[in-house]
Amino acid sequence: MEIRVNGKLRSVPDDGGTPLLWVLRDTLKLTGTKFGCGIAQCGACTVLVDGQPIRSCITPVESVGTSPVTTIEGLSGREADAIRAAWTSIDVPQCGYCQSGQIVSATALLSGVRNPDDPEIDSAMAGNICRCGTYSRIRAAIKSAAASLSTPA
Amino acid sequence: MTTGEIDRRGLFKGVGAALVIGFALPVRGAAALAAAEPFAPNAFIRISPTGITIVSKHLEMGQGIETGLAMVVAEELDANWTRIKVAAAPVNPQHYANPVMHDQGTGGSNSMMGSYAELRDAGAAARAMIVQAAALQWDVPAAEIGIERGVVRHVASGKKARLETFAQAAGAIPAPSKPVPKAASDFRLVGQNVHRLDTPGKIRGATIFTADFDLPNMVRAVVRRPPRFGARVGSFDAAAALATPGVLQVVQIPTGIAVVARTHWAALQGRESLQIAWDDRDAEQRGSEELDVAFRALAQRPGSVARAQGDIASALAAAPTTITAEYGAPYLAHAMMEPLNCVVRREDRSCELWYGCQFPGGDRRHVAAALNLPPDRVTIHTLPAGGSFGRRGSFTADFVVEAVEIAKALPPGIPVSVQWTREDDITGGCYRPMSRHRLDAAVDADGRLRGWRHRIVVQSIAETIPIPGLVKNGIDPISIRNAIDPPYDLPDMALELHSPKVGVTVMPWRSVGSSYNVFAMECFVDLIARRTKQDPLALRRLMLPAKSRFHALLAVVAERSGWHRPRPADRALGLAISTWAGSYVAHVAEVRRIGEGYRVERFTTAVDCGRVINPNLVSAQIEGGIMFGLSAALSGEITLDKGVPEQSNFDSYKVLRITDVPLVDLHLTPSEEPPSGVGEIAVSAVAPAVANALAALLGLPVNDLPLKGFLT
Ligand code: FES
Ligand code: FES
Repeated sequence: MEIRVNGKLRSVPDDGGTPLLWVLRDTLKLTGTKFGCGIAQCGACTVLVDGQPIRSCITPVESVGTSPVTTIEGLSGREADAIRAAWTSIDVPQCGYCQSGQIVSATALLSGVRNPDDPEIDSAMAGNICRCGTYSRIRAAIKSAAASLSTPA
Repeated sequence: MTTGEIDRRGLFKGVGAALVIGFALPVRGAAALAAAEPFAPNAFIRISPTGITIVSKHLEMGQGIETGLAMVVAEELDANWTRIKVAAAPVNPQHYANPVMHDQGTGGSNSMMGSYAELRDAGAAARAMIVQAAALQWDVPAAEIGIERGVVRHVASGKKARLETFAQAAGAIPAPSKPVPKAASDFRLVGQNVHRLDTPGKIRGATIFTADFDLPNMVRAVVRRPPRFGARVGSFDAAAALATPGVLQVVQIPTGIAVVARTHWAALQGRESLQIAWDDRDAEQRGSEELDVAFRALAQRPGSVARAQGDIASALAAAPTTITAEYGAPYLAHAMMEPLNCVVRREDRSCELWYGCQFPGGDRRHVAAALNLPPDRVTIHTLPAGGSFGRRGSFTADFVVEAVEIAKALPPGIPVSVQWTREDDITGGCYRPMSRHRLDAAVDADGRLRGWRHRIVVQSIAETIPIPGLVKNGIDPISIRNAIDPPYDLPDMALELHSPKVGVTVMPWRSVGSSYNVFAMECFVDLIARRTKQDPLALRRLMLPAKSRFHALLAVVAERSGWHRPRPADRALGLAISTWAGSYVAHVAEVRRIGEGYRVERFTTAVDCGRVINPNLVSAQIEGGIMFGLSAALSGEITLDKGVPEQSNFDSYKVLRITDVPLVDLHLTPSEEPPSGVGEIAVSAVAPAVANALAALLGLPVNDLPLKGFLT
């Protein structure tokens, strides 16, 4: 089977029913995408498929076809840069284990909504658990990234 | 017993031998660095011409300790902060013991407290040696040499060079016997909002956690453990599991049945097909309701006396008013984001492990015992951990020894990565114990509190710790934390403890005994205030000794929360205070009624944690501690049905999400006192602050955690 990950077509030997998460992690060694629950409850495994955030732990690899998959390792562009810059200046991560998923979700949010308000942030980020409790900083960093994107470079 | 043995040689053919030597591991350990680094003035500093490495004896599990420790050393060295790297220490309790634990380990919020003086000395010693080396090389008096941001300078001669240039030469200078750390007034880094060193890796998915750690020919394993605590494998049938594609081996180990496979997914699939009959003869079969009834009954009877001062019995008998209340707190799972895991590679006479190791000293002894090896044949490479909250600091090294048991069944040299699922984690025990509290207060005619009797019913954690003498006269010191020394003046006071035996395994959980005792005590103080018609803040001020460090904190939170200002009828404030690891906290929670439910809108928090090394990191710990405490207060609960945990993943074990997060107004008190703990201080007073606010809002007693009954 072939999947398109971070711009490259990759051939994978896994069974089609294998969740995308384990193909990324075990087969392709893209370990930035994390396992946190396996049942679409925590968001640690979030990746983009066709630019949309999905939970890779419940997504059979065969269902993805050759749609472009973007993981934290391949996440780039203006929104991703702004998010990472804000994450750095606000020092969002603590243990960091949830942060790949947080950053993928936040980048997808900013790609769709230029200046998200609190309810928009809530609904985009409610699926991403952080047990270290970095939520206030995540919210602040999304707003700061959004502000930086609306300032002409 | 091993099933699938016949296939073993074939399955592993050709992999064993290739592993033994010949590949370089990405080892973060300092041991590996030491050989290549010319200047190693002490156990904590390695300087080479290309950079400076600080050796951290504490596990980085999110608290930012690696950054904090490095700041203290860099400060004394006058190093250029951008050239600082951190490496995890190897196991060496002689060099890296935690002074509070008398062994190598991270926990109890004491990392900075225990390392501050030691690292200042280490940095000051290295600096003096570098200055001396420069003085010899430049032939100028050492007293005329300065170091600023990593540049060594002699002003009169105009000579300057980077600090690292002297690495080689400094190695020949004897270490000063009494290094002289800087005056605090000369600090440039300490006290500043320095960015974390680990952020770059964490925002790119590049940080290698245990789950991500890979070795050539590594196999993956998961374990099916019994649903009930204390149960054992009766019999099992591994045929279907072994027929699962990718499954290599099925192994019975003391904790259950392990499925070893080429990939984690294959191991999980194999585990699904295991047929196991559990032997429940020694298992805990009681449910939460039965335990609750038993605990409530115990709370009515005198327990072992942990403290008795004055005469509370007479005070209660004589008091014109007595106030009695009971409180309860449930079992809680740690549910750190990265479920437990451990990578092991066993050779015939040695063993290497890679994981987020919180107790290197104890873990190494347990591994050595399991393998019948001397401890120095066991090497632990500490990796950053995706949270812990206490769970990785296992006194029995349960998850580490289990991984070693699996490795024992594999051919030598085959590395195995053992991964727990979230269900394994939530149902796996090692919980914060459930507790029951009864408090009886004696109140004078003028409404002044004479004292109280506090009776705690909680399972002992200390009796699971293999240190003799920890439990004395039936008193587990962990069970009574904070209840033994309330911050208040209580002329008559008694503390009694019941430590019932329950089969459910228990462990420290961020803030440990404080997490339930402070809930009971701080709710009780508010109850006394309501019954005696006093303001809860004024009552606390009255009860606190004049010298208490709490007075300053109470003044701050009163002012910033608008405690004395009128507020709408749909809002109420609740106050609670606590101590931990030398630090002090006061929280005011503001709750707002929404229909039949409520929302926690805001926390106003003041913390006195001595000198603040990095306000940014300390704030993150306090914010995180509030969220952790709030998560537990609002919805955290493990319940048992006939001994089987009823929650198994984040769909049933609810945790705080971004939608529930209150505003936090945090104030750190400036202080010249030595730094004290920040990892746990915020946690325990969160639940009583919210409960007190709710009680005020609803006019109802709020005595049991979690508070979800009010959330409808
Ligand atoms: S691992 Fe996929 S949502 Fe938790
Ligand atoms: S940073 Fe640790 S779980 Fe989010």
